[in-house]
Amino acid sequence: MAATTRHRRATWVGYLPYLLPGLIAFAVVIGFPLATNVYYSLFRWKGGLAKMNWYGLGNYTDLLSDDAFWVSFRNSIAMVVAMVVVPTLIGLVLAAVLFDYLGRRFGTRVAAVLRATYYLPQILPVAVAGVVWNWILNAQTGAINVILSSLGVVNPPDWLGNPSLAMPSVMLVLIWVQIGYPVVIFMAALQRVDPDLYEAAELDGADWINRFRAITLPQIKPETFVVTLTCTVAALKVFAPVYVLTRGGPEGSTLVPSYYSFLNFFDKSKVGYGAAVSTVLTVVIILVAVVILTFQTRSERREREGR
Amino acid sequence: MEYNKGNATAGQLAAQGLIISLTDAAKQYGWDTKLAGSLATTAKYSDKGLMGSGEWYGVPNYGEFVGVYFNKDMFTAAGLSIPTTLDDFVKVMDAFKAKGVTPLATAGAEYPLGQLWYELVLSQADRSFVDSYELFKSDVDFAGSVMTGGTQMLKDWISKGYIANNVGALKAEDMGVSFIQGKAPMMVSGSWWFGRLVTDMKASWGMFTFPGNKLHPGSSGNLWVVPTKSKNADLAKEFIDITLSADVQDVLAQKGGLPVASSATATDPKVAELTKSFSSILAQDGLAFYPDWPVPGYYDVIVAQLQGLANGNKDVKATLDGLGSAYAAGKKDLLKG
Repeated sequence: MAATTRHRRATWVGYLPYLLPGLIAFAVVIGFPLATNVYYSLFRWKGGLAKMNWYGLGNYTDLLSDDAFWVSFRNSIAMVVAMVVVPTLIGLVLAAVLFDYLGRRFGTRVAAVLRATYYLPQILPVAVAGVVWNWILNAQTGAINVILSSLGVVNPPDWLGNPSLAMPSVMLVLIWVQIGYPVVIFMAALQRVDPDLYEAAELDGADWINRFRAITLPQIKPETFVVTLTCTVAALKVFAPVYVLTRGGPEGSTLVPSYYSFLNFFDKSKVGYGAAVSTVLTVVIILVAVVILTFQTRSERREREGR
Repeated sequence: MEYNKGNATAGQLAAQGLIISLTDAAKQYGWDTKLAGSLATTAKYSDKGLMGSGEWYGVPNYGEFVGVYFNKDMFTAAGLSIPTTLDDFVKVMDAFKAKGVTPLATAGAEYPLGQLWYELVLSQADRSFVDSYELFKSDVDFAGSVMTGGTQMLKDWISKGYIANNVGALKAEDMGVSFIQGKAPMMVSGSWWFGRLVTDMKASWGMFTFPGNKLHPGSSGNLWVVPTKSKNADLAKEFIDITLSADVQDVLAQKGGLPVASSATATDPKVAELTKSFSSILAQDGLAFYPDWPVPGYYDVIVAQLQGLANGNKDVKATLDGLGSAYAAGKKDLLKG
């Protein structure tokens, strides 16, 4: 017994050198910046060589009464809708239609071309997409409003300038950007599904909707979890689209946490405060990720147990 | 190194100890006599990073100001001449409005609308207001006649249609393009558009200072600063002095770069006109800096508040309350250091 334990420990130690590079990279790229960020968040500091004034948890208590901070996190929910909920739902249906219906009727070539077009916005740099959408949504000279006014609409909407419209407009752009990702992942997942299942179901007289519900959805569950997790994290830390489209405006209506943190860091030189915002954001992301991962493990366990 | 001037930028660096004091060099090279009045304001910063007093931290060698660019072809077609008073200016805008043309191009998502607002506030103000607002010499009353008068005027201009109400999401570039393409006969913006208009604008155009105003948004240009970690600080100071020498300044005058220390007259009439406008503003010490300078992060506040005013979500009082509370909070932070 004693011999085997010693033997086991020896193997474990043998793997250590292989873990080291990863550990070092983690410490340098994630651990150190994260710790520094938390450290900064305890000070009132203008950055650079300025004096750092100890503020304890003051930045965090200030956050509690900061309206802009709460607005930014409320907007995160809208971002989750636009980057996770809607694209995943539409992506599921699109992928199933492309794979199952179009792919079979018009050949895999057609499906592949369509899949590539849906994925195109993902390849486009956000800055470029943002400029293009700015042209389209421009209130005076934008494509949409020019078309609307030529159709006789007197006061076409101010897409990005009206506080109640700006968020929906930004969400629409994000859905457009995001949709290709679930489509591609789900189509890959569908190729893994055993065609016999569909064939058997078809022989039993199941229609497309039924096959989608009974076979497609359960079979690609693991991929759905991956898409939900990665997209939710991306939605919570979204920055670039907001930066290029609205800069958080009009009247702060499209503020999101990472942009708010950026504003404090660079525009207002409130480094400690900005660090506090990003620390809170990090904690929220970790919590959300843990919740999603827990759901995933539970669902996998249920599957293994055959329930 | 070249850096932006103002409390929120160069002042910030000075307070952070990232750039060195140039007071001795300013005396040695005579920069303190070459650059006077509102030009020197942006060169000096206190230990808290507030401009206007304290040590020299930066040296400007050119200037900039905000005025009105106008499309001469459109003015001629409408039989209008350059307005010299605010009343005349309003009449010109009415004339364009009557023809179904929105007279002023502007942009609410970036600086232009804020500068127009400041232009209108300044039409009600004197130097002591600028000293309070920009240099914290005394408290600014955001509910007082200067602020209310200027902001109310902007509100009226929007409701009368001098400015479109859907400018909220437009960028400065949109404003420029709209003016260049002749969609709007005028835009209120800075001398930095000059070069672009020379190359891009097909219609004939000109520029005049904001009618009736003694004070104008504008300042020295960006500053030469010397980083604390600089290895050749003395060389840097010599270089700065060269940029203020007569040779360099005269070249700036010829190219429309708005020199701070040159008496040369440009051969190009348009450049001469621009330089003349700038000199006339300098002569009455009329540079009033920019609205977003006083406190860090104020740019975004002005943009957000004026977007609300433009699209009708906020009235004058609510806008000024928003501007005033952020100003007060930022000032408190700054003075706390």
